[in-house]
Amino acid sequence: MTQEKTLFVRAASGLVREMSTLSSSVYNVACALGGSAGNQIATPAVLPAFVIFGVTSYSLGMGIATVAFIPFCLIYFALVACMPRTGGDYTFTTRITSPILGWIEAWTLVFACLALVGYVLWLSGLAVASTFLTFWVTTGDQVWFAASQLVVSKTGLVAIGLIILVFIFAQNFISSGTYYRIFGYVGLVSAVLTCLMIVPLFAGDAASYASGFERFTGMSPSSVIALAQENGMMIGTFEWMSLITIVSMAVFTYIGFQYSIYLAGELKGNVKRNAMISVFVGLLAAALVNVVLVNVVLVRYGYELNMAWSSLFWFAPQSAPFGGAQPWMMLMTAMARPDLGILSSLASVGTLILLVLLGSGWTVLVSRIIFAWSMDRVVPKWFAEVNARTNSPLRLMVLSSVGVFVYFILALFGANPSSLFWYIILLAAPSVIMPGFNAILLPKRRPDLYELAPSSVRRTILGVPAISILGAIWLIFIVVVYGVAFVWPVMNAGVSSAAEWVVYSTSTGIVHVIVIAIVGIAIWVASREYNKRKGIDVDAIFRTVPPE
Amino acid sequence: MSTLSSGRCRRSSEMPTRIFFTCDLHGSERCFRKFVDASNRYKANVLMINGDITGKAIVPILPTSKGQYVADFLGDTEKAKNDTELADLEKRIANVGYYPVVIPESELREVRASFERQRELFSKLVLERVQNWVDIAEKKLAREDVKCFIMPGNDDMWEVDDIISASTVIVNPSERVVDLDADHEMISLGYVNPTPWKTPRESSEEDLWKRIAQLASKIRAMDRAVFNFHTPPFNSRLDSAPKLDQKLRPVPSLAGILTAPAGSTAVRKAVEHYQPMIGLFGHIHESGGEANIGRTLCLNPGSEYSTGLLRGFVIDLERGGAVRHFRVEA
Repeated sequence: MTQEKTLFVRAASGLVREMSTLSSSVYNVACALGGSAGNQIATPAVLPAFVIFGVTSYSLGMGIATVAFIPFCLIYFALVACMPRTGGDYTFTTRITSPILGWIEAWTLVFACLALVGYVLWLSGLAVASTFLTFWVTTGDQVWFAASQLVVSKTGLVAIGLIILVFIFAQNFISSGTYYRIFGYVGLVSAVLTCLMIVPLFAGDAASYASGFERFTGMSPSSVIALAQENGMMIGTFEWMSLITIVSMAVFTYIGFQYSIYLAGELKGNVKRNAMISVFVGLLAAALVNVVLVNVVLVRYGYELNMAWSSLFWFAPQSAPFGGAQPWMMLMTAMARPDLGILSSLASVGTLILLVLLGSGWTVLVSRIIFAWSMDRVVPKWFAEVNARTNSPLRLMVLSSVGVFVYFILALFGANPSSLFWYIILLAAPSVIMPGFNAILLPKRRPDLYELAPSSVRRTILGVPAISILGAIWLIFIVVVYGVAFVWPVMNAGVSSAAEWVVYSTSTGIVHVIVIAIVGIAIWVASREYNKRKGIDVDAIFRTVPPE
Repeated sequence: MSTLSSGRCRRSSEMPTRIFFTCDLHGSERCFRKFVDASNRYKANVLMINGDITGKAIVPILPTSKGQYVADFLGDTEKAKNDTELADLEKRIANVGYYPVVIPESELREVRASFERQRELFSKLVLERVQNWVDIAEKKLAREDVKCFIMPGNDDMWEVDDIISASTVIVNPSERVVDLDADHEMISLGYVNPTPWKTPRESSEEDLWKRIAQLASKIRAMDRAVFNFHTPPFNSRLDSAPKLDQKLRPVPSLAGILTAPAGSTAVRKAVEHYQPMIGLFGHIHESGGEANIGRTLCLNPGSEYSTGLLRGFVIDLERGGAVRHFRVEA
């Protein structure tokens, strides 16, 4: 009977797209982990540090965040089951909650993406320097050491950043389809190469690492730790507030694991299953790196030494090993086991490529978000014109590249990199908060779509739609996290006068975010007025037609 | 000046003609009801469907020995405990574009075994729904100052034409010149270039060109003409469809499904040659968007009928020949 009751179809055209679960999962893993396998070891130093039961504060926070992200995943696959189309959060919020909130959410997300890619360009230069150092440790050839010192200078970082930016821009001269294929294949090969570091990681230990560290950096571990302590490094004990601050970092660190949702138009078929698996695979991969791998490296090679190196890298780079190089996992494994340095070197190259792909992929994402705005008449149609040869919005890619370059220069010469990091998290806030509202409002605001979703999406608990409950749970979590990460520090900043507030908010990036939000609102208002004068009813673009 | 009164849309001669244009509803009851209501919501005085109004699949609902009903729907096993729940299930199935049919297991087995019985069942269900839609449109639009054009597309069986032709409010514009208003004419063609599925309205590129040329010869002012063809121009970015292997399965890659242009070279040639004011297209659900070929604005709304989302364009035709348009997702 089970077989008998399945549907049957007639010959008809208009094939439904079917992006495989494997393809969407690989995409999510690449977006979540681009490069982080290499440099993530540096992140814990900007967060409260402690170890409890052999687990570092960073990994504990990331573990909690992983669990908290489960309702977030469920929200996304419910939303995509109701609206399986490309566009992601901008589409969901404009069509479910509010057009202007959707606009502000996407507007700030675009700046967060540009800032992130600018930051990635800066990191890429450091990653190149670290990769050269890994080659030097492996081969003993001084040319690689000299090259790394050249790259790690301001001039070197600018040069590397520009080369990568040119590479990102060059993608406009191939078709979108070719680009995505190259992205997929190169991403997979790079990920496999990155995994090679597991061998030297487990072949080495704290003693071999300490020995290699002293030999190659010319600094004793104890002196590095002392230097870091002089520059403010503090390893404390467990505190709830510290833990929540770390959890807030995960919101940024994990971003990208759900990006198959942005390709939802290709996930049709059993969209629920496909979306669920790919998003959870992305989350699992992010958790494996941030919870497991980072913890293994930190603890196995000596927590205090690694935190000290990371801390000097951020806060006193002139005193850091190798003249300011970041603690790069593959460099660390190479120093612990120089005899296995070839594997560390290959892994380093793989991670470096992943980092470049991350910057490239996110620049494309920005251009596509603006493309969606243009289709909705929020920004002039001029932006959305697609190049006939490459099938990509060339003008948008140029603009995105310019935006990235501005943030890259800011990261290099203007903003403190750790401050820029926080500023990016603050800018991304609407894009992680609004899914909660969308989930709560979906059954009421879009009953026409909700009623047609699979039954698992329409489940109720005590008469309340489960999707709305998940939305409320996520909102409670994320509001607490952002409150602790941003409101709490402001309240405890000791700011008492207006002048002090200006200095504080400027140095932390708060002013940046406020200005960007105000400019976004102004553009929205101006765009509506402009369209009205041209006779276009902007409200109609987002209007739902009741079917009954 | 346009006024909205008692649900009726009145428009003076100075106001532009406002078209609500959509395509590929594929049997979605929800999308069709939204379409009919679009005249009010968007103040449109021309409603237009550019082909493929019929659905593709039947969902059998089996009565059980306990007086209940069970069906496989969207990957879930759905149960209806009583007639109210059955009606709700049937409505949900119809809203996504499928055809629910309550059928005993023994009879279903016979239908599955016979291609002819399947064809008969499809024909019955498809035509019933089209007739129902015509009834809905007549009820809602009869007293409104709205022109409603519904053109069958390549997936629509020929019997659909008879039902539309019998309507008092719906016009089938296929293969003729119709006036959208005093200034703008439109020619329409539901045929498409050959597909792997061998659907009812397919034709060679040569034949498509002949049909289009014949229609275009009757247009008085090409610079204010509208081409309403189901298949989009070849390689226009409005025709990117999944590339298929020999078993008609999409060709996957690590970077996603491979795509290829699937539009008509004859339509491309026609748009390039005649340069009408606007080209309205459909057929390729995945490739919604807009593009310019020379001076011709080409639009394909795309389709997500199975989610109940109605994609379309609102197009204002000014008397002087200017065009305004914006995309909507109702």
